[in-house]
Amino acid sequence: MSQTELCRFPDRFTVEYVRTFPHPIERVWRAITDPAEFGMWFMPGTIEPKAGGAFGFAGGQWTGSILAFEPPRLIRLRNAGDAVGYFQYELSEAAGGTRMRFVQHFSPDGVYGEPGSTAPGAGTPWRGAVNGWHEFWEALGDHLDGVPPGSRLPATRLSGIAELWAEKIAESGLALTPDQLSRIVLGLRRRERSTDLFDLYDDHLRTALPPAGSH
Amino acid sequence: MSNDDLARFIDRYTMEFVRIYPHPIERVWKAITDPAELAQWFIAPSPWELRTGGRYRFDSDNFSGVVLAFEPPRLIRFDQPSGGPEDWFQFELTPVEGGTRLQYLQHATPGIARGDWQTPEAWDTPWGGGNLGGWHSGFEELADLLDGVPCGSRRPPTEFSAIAQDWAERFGAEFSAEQKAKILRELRERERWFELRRIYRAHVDATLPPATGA
Repeated sequence: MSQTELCRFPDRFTVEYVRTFPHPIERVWRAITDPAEFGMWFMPGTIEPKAGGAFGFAGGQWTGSILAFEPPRLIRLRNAGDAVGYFQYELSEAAGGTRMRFVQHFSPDGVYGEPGSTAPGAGTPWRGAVNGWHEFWEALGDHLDGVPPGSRLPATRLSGIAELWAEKIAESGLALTPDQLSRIVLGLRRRERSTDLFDLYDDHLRTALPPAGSH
Repeated sequence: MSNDDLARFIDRYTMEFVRIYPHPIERVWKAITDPAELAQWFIAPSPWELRTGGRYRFDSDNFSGVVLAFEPPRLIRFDQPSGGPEDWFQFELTPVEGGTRLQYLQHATPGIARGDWQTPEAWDTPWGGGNLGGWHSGFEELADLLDGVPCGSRRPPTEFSAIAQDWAERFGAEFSAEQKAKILRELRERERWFELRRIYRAHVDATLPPATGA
């Protein structure tokens, strides 16, 4: 986990993340494109493994088509109803593993966010989304390393309280299994991380996002 | 919920909490003597023999002994021999304008070195921040019980409880609404206890009378 690898904005409507994972390119490709794998760190869904195929994430709430499918280097996807935007994963061999470059682009002509909002990132689709991608890359790193997503987040005051609560569960009369307790403690820590990332990206959007009219 | 009504040290070996509850003395008496009510704001006792000379035990053998005095609805006193031969604690109730005054007193045998898991050095009193904070939190929950709301449900939200709430709404699908509510209250209780433990550590450092004649 690193707070230093925030996204970059090549222009106001394009975002880029770069990550290097210490795993072979085929392994990372599988983690990104195989439903049994991306269901573990991203969300449940399907991807038809061919250009022109369809994708559906989150029980069909997020659908679209595959614009490019070039194993193990490139997959580009486009949301349903969108004629301009896309998001894509590019993989390449790098020293010690695989470099992943993720790019998402939205039409500069779209209408995004609350009209009249002055929140960081107003008028763009990024608020609440760029922190989410960052969190997914952390989970992907955990998944590739074979540990449960979020399980390597450092201890905090909150996680200390949650762990002590779980240790003393016998006092509470709640019938929870050890697995359930672990899921609760991990789930709370991941929600805390989400909150932290939202705040981190609030600042980042304020300082790093190119102003309107600059693309 | 207040941090102003901290326990007071009558002397180095005697500690006092005072609370006024807007309920009749019989109601408060029931809350401190009925096992089902004790289980809600404190700890379920077993055995629980409500007579002078009767046995009691809370969650461990260290927290067990004999009832020294039993005078409904005003006074119940216990010994606690695991702490020292003169250790005792008691609840005393008095009717006051608008309700009932509860005085909790605890006395520790002087001159006994007590290893404390919370402090590196041995002390001659049992007044750890966690212990005092636990009682303080318990008396908050006693107020909730008497007022007819779930114990701990009136603690104000915090950054932590907001995160927990968010977790419960998004990812708590495998738990019932009742379980989730209890989990959230208990996590909040733990957080409160952490806070009180810190407050009481400072309070002990600042207000505990020094040992005399040693």
